[in-house]
Amino acid sequence: MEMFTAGTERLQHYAFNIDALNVFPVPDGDTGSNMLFSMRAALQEARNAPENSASGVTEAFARGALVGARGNSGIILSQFWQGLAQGVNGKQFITASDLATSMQKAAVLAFQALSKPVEGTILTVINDIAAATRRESVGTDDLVSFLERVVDTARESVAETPRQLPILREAGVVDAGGWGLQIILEGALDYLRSDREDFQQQHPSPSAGTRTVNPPSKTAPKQGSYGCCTEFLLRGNDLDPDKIRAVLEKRGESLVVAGNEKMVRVHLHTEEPDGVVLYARSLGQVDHLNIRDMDEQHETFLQGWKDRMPATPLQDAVAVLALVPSDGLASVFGSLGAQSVVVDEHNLSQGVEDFQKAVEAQPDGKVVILPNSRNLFSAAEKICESVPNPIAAIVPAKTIPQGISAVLALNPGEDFETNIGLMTGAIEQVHSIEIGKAAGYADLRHIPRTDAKFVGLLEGEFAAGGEDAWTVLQEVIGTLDTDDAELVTVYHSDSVAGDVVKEIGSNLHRSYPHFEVETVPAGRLRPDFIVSIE
Amino acid sequence: MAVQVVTDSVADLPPQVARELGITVVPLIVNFGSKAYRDGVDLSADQFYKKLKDSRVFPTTSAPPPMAFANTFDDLAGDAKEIVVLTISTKLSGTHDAALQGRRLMKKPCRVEVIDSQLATMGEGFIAMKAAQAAKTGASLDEVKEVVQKNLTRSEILAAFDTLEYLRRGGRIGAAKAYLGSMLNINPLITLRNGEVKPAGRTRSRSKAIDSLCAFAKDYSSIEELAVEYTACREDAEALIDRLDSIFPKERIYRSRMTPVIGTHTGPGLLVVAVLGDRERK
Repeated sequence: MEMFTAGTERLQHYAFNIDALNVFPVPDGDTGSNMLFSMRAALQEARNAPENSASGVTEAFARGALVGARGNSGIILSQFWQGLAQGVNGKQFITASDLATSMQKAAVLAFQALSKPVEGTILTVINDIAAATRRESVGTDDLVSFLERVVDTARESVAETPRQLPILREAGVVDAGGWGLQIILEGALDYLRSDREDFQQQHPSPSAGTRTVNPPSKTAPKQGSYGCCTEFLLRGNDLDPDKIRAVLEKRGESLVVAGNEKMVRVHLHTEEPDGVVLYARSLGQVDHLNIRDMDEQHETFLQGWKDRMPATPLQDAVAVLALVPSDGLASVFGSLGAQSVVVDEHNLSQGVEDFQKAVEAQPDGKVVILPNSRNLFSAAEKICESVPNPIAAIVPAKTIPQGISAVLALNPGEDFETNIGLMTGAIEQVHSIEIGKAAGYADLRHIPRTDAKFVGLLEGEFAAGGEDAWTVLQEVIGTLDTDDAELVTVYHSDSVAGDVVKEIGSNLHRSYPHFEVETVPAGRLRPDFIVSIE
Repeated sequence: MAVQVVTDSVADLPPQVARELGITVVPLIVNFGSKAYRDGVDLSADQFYKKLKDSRVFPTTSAPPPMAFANTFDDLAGDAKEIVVLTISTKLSGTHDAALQGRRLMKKPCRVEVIDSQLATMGEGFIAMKAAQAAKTGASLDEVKEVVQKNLTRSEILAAFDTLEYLRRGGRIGAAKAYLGSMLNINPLITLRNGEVKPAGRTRSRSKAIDSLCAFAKDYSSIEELAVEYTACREDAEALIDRLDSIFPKERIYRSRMTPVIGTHTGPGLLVVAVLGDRERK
């Protein structure tokens, strides 16, 4: 009993991961949940078992699994337990050889349940286990080591499934149902070993972390319609599962018929659920009827995948193109959803050419341009006028902090014109400071000659000079009204040593305790620091 | 007997409002590991946020079981002949489906209409309130439905997040995933449009985000109801209410604590303004 519980608990742990692997027969991503649901129903029944013997509990378990079975995998699982129950019939305790016998029965029953058994699925795993138990049970009565070998076999068999079933191979996944069974068995084994505490470390899952699971949208293209997933439990007196299977085979896909003469569980993907149910009612009483539209289920599953995809560019309707001086800043803009063109200030003509190409490459015609530099402003304007097709608008950001404020103000819910207004308005909300070695500014005409080692620029104009970066930064901040400001962001060039960056950060904290301070690596820049205050 | 109004726990109705208007609330489910709690019934907001901080297990949520709806309907059907149910957006939860299944499972004869609010939080709550007010004055089921339809477009929310991590983990991030992956710290603003999560702007600081919440409310030409909702950030909510006092009397602003189910998907730093009103777009 506890073994079953442990197996179910472990399954619960992985149900979502198993769902994610579900690509066959229909990629509706519910294998794990269905198996879990079936196991829970089985447990419920086993807990209420009238007698506490191995036979009594297993039988109740199998009955519960049949009543509660959901989906293909759930029904196959229930057949597996049926086989087990038949194998231990009348026994008080289970031995390894009893298990071996049971597994043979389980394999036979599981295959019988399906109209078209397919290799590379949970069926193959069950078959491999049965074969292994036949070999292993000879001469052993140690249940733990026996079950260890069963679990090893299950693992190997699951790992092999992509080789047997092409659709799994294409999707880069193992069979979801097979893996679910492996997990249940692992849980049971762990219980026997009584080391359930750290089972996760011991048996890393075949999907988590080590394997890339491709979205099924790419690998399992939807072909035609999946129809309705129709499931029910049929109760009667002289039911013939084989005959029912033969009749229903022609009515749809993924047929599973499992049970005995008193109770038969049916699962079928069909375009005509009503007809199937009518037929079943002619044989006996139909219970637990569940009809779901597979196409809808498939859509929901695909949506679930889309939601788990990595970030995408902000919005197609409003493309933003930023001119930046370094790869590092291109990454920052990129992380905010803007495209960037890196323009080397020493090779402006190349930069302008790249920029023109980038503007022309905009597919849907509307692009916001952020020059982010006074030097590139007129070049940007010229390009805007020269390219006829995309409607290019310049948002007049003349510094990097202004450009970043503008990108942040972009609201995907608004149209192009509104966004230009939002972005332009945001430029006013930030102060831009640049601190660099004076020698680096010698070629800029609008920066006065100075003997100081460092110069500080405010909004692109010379504001202070001094012997070190911190003194200059302090002096520039001193000229500002910072009462309402609360955030200082320091973008630093990779030419500045790490401890110098740290020191600037801690100096800012100390001198302006009401500021939040963030330091961001920005690649190779002309200035040592670009600082925004907002 | 008047039409009965049922909604779900994520409408975030303050308990006394639900009581006064006679609205029945069906709880969604929060799962911590293998334990399931009924939203706001078995697990209070305080207990939840403490657990969220202390527990290594990340909670998940699920729709109410159909039987919960069926039982609620059967209970109400004793007095009422008609029930209207308002649910969280179908794009965010299976609650709407659960209510429909509940209708099939109920035993007593009673007309039950289930309506997708395309919203959540007090945005949804306001519609339930309007429906209940109409029902109280003796409106028929069809009249109540009409009131609901008319107000669906008048109800809107804006939410200031301090992280999108919870929304992402819960798989409900929708189009707001464009705001993920930023190399700078940002405070995203999110709204619900046509039932889906949509990005609505981002700021570099919490206080700018709160400015945006104020600006959102100020953009209305007339406000009928206003609510400020918070998860574990009561002080921010109080400060915001003080600022909103100039456009809408403070004592009429609903303060609401977001339920654990919402908190699971947003994290403890969420602040929401919900408005029922009209605005002429500038």
